[in-house]
Amino acid sequence: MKTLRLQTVLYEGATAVANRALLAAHLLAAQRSAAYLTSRTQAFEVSIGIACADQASQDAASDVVRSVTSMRPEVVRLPGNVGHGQGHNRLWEALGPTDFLVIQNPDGQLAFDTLTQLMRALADGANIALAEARQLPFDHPKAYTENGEVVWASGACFMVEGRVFSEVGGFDPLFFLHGDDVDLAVRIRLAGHGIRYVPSARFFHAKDIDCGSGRIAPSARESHYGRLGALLLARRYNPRALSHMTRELRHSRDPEAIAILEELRSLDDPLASALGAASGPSVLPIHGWDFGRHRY
Amino acid sequence: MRDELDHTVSTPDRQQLDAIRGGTTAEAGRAPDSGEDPAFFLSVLTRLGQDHFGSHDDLVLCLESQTRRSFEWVILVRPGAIEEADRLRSVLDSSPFLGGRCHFLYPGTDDRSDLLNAGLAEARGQYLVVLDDDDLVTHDWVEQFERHADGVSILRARAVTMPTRPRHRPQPHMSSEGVLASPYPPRFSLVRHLISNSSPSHSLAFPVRPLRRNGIAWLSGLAATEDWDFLMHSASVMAVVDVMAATAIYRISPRGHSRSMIAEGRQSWEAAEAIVRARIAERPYTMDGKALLEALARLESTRPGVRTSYTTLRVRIAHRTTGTALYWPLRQAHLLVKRVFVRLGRDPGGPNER
Repeated sequence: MKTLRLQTVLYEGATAVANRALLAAHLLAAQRSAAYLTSRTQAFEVSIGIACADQASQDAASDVVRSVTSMRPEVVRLPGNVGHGQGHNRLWEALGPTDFLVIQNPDGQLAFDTLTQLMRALADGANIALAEARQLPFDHPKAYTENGEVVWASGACFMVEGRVFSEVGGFDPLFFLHGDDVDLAVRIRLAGHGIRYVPSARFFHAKDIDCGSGRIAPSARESHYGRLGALLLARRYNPRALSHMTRELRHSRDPEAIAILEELRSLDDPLASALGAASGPSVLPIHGWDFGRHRY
Repeated sequence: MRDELDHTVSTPDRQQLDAIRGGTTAEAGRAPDSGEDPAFFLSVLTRLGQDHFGSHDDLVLCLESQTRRSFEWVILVRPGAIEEADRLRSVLDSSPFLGGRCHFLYPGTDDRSDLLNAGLAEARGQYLVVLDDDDLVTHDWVEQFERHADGVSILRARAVTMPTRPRHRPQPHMSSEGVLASPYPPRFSLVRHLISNSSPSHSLAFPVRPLRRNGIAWLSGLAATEDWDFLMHSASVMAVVDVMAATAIYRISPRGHSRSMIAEGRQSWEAAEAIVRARIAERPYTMDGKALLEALARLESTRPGVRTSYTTLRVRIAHRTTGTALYWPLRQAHLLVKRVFVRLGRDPGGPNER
């Protein structure tokens, strides 16, 4: 029997009723999607792991787990907010490897057949190791081929083969909040495996629209770690793009941008040096601040 | 082994989830006098057609992910969509979120308005909203309506457009093909709506009791724009409250065309629009001073040839706030605005909203 685990990392603010409700819905949806998977394909032993970065998150997770699901997710307390990728790594180590791993944001929900659709993509025999779900109501603008090939996959929701996740060493803790998913995908590709975008696999990702602009507005924190993550990725995989990006930040004269550049300098990256000439636009194309080509 | 697995993934407890979410369960009885069920704040009416690109499953997930569950989903099945309705029913039966709060109606008609009128007759919510089967909504769509509800006013949330096109591969789906935009006025303007509709259906929630009391219904036989007619009829007897949160996402073609214009063709669409415009011209509207001033200011800025008379009228209204002295300027302004705006057939000052 194959094993499959869904992992979520919780941090900060999980005491709010709304967040508990989101977590409850997220667990129920995962449970239902697992039930559909086991009814349609071979038998799977499905489990859920929740990593909590603080006491409030742990209390919330324990309450919700007790009151809502019969699946009894395993809750693991982290030593602190170690970041998104590192949180998943710790959970993976604490609970042990599984044949398949699903990484999922806590502010989202699976459809009834999401796990089934992702599993089908991994099982199509084309050496696919990672399958990414389509986000709703706003799908990501990155380009994909008719076969669903993509340069990278969003960490909002994807399924990865457990042996490949272990083979590449999981997420890189150098990335705290953003960019860890892109990096993982690139290393999986460099290891010789394929990555696919699976539009029929749905994941509802709760996001607010800014009323003024009508666009999805990132928080200051997301903006900070988004830019830092992009710079780390460029330094590692596409140094030519890095010079454009750093120049743009320096010329902006924005104190926040300068702080990001200083933070970048303080973070050593042995892998960037090791890759050397092996890195470049063919490994990770970067256009402006976007990874890969976008549809618009 | 299967027993063990089944135990692992047993049916979740919907009532517990509802308790956590602050929503309600669907089992409460129907109040006999009003037709309302206290369990439901909102009745969501959806005309169900065929679906080749997974839009219905997109919609199911949007509704399952609502932060408030105080709604019922009334699915109005078109004659050509019976099989799709059966498939959808099987999906919903297993839903820990929507099971028990959905019902399928088979009105036996393809008429856009008759389908909705069948839904209105059966709606048990305090409010109703029309959610087309390829629309999208954010997680707080129901919650934002509920926060602003007073039981008597139309609620208008903000809407954004998402350029989208169907794609067959890797699997059939709807793919976004452009950035979100916000072409609709942030606040409801009766004046603008005299000219064209700038409120997608799923951005509007209507209080059911006033609709029934005033005999308001969708006009049968219209190939398009029945939502505009319904809104304007409702707005002639009800106030509109702005919900300042963007929760409704309207899928448009990458070229910016609305779905109904594509489906029905420009000629049918314009014919329907002409009928609605004539009905608006016949119907009395009550505008407050602010709306009149807005209308006059726009005329003043765009029709310089008659600028003086508009300005005089506007100044007279602005300076006289009480008593009979205000009556004649207001009456003159009402007549002027109705005559000019309705016959214009286009917005003299704003962008084309369609």
